[in-house]
Amino acid sequence: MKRTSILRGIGVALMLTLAGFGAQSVSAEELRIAVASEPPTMDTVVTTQIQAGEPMRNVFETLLTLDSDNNVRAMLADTFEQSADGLTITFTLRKDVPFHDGTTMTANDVVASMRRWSEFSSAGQTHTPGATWEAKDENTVVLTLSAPNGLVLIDLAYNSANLPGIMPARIAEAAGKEEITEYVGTGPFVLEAWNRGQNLVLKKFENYAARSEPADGTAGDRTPHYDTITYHYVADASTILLGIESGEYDVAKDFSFDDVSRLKSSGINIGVAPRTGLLNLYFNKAEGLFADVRARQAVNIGIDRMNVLLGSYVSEDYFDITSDFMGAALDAQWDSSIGREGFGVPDVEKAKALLAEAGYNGEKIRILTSVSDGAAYRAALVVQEELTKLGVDAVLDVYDSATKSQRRSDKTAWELVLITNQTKVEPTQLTFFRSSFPGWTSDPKVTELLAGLMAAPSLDEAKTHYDGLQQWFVDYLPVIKLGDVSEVYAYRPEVTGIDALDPALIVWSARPAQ
Amino acid sequence: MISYIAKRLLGLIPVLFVVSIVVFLIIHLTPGDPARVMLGDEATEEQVLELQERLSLNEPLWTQYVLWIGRVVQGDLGQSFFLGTGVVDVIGERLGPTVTLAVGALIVALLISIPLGIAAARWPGSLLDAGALGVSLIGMALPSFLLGLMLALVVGVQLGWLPVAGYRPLSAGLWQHVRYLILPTISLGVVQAALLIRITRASMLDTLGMDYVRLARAKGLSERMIAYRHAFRNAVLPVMTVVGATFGSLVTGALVTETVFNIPGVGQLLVSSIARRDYAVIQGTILLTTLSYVLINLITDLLYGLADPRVRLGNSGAR
Repeated sequence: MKRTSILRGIGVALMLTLAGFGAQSVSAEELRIAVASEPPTMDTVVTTQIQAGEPMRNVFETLLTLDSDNNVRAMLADTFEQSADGLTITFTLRKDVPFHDGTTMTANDVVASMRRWSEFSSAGQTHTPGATWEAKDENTVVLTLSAPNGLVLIDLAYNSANLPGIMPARIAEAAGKEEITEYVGTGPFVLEAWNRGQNLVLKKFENYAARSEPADGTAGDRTPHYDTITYHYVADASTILLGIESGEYDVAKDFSFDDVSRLKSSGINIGVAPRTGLLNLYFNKAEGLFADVRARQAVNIGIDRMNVLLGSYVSEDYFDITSDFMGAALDAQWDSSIGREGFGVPDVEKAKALLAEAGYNGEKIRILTSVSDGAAYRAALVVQEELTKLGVDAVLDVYDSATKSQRRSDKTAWELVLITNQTKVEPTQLTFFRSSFPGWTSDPKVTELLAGLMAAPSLDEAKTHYDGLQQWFVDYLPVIKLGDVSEVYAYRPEVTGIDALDPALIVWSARPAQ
Repeated sequence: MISYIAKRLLGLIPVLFVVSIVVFLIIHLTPGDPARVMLGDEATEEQVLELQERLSLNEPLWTQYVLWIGRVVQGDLGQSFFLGTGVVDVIGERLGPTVTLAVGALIVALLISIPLGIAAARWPGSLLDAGALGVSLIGMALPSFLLGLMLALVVGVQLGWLPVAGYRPLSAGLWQHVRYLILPTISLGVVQAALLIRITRASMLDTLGMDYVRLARAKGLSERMIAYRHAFRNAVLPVMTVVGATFGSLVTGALVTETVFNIPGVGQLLVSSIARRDYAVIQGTILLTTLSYVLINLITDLLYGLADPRVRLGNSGAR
């Protein structure tokens, strides 16, 4: 009897303890974000991965940035001006902007940071080859290009992968080509700790010098509301789901579209990022059936895009079907009516006829894919079915992500592969134009068209070249754009103000819900 | 005793050498390129080639092996491509959570299995025995990750009592440290207990049928005293063997449980390193886990002597 009472007492005490120290509730102090993948480095000059750009745009700020409509706005620059010939851009810097180490930003810091970015980053090498950065005085920096480039402003403003963050000159100069060892910027958050394999902890920068304009996209006021932002790296999708449902995390990304309804029914809010994803079906144009443009046309008109997208993105809330290769998210900058008429209406008979013309005689068509591709993997399953309807003997070649990535560069290993590309702020950065990129586009005409676009002295003039490029895309079909797709993110009802652009999260605007 | 230990430790050298070759060949002959994984899907071929060069991935396989093993014998397991630090440091950081989880899971397993196994043996054929065997059967059939997910769903999400994922070091406070480990240790411990229940029961049944137990009964000792004081000490050897092997497998990484509960341990490190082809980390982790597995087995062998003087090692009179 006595023992039973003691055991019961222990049981009750344990339950009360567990309940008392149960799952943490959302506090104004910390915003906990669960994401699946961790980048190899947080240095945005070294890596092009968006997983680095996303948290680090809270730490590093750039001279220019983009608003919610992807228009170029000043950030650390106070003003900027491109010369009429497009060769020189003069940036007047904001004054009294402190770095996280207590020093004040000067033109020398900007020059050192931007020289490193131009020289060593993938984006810098592409967009500012041969360019020079000079400090005209304490608050003025001049960029001199080797050739007119109407796209350079928008490239400098891109605030995601490979972002050109400004850091103290001593850090940029010491690092050169190597990874930086200190993460010191001017942003609203200070990098407190990066516990590899676990989390990245950002703390509010108390001396942050905010812009006076209201927040708009990544532009304007970035004054943070949370004291701490922690990005938790959680490899398992089911753990991410359970984590946000239980309150262990406040915000979550990288879960399946199938889980959206479950999250909604648990009272979790779902945010939809802009349609910056391009679900592209890549052809191997170097070898095999799809070296013939008629075979590519057959797939283009034979596949029912709606079936593919519903099979992979579940609901029309998360995708659009549009003809522009730049995608719907950038219609304000890059919009063309070429190829729009009758777009997306499948014609199986015509497709079969085109396949016959291309000489298709029943050989196996391999679709290279990986389960870890998520929605693109599911799209591959439906594409296989759609191709079967056209009489194509399509088979899935499924590998783990690293193997797939290697096989993709082998011209003899595949005929089709699906990739969800993130759209870029301007066309020249899209991978399917590159002759060395898997798919192996090879047409001197596109090289000429891209050169013309880049050489335009201003962004407005560059836009006038877009129709020509879209016409080439429709005729040549380097890839088939199956749809413009969104990423989704989940956030608990205790959080408000979170936003997404390009499609990384904007977290400085997040705040506890009242 | 000392010569026995020395002999066993010397025997480690060929084992580790063979393991090093096998692991190196398997991981390097598996398709996949760390440079491509690091640079992402949109990197140019030029960038990939440059990084391959920097990481010495273009060297012939045997050159890469000789370079690596040359460093290993000097105690340097190499650098992680992705984490930017030495493999020894990386594994050192991850060992804490893994060992804590392993010890916790073992304690849970022993707390469940020893009393249940002994009780089942004391009353064979009873409802308690059938219950213990039933629990054991379910435990053996149930993968720990499934139990983990079910626990996380019920205790973490539905009841909101415990966190469903993550790890807090001891420096974050004892309770914080413990509460994050409760669900993973239970899910691992229950599954490990399943086999131990059966082993304890079978071994106890054998022992309880022996003459000295009958003598103890004749002397008028209580059944409880006989079971716990006399029989269990003799029944413990097979249990210790399984406990040693269980602990070995837990320390070398509860791969799936660590992934499901997002515990930054050795198992999770190995899984993520394989996915991104972080060669040095994979090779180093497997070498060190082989070493720890063999050492744990050695310690188990030495502990036999403590439990049973008849098998005291290095004592020729007793052997």
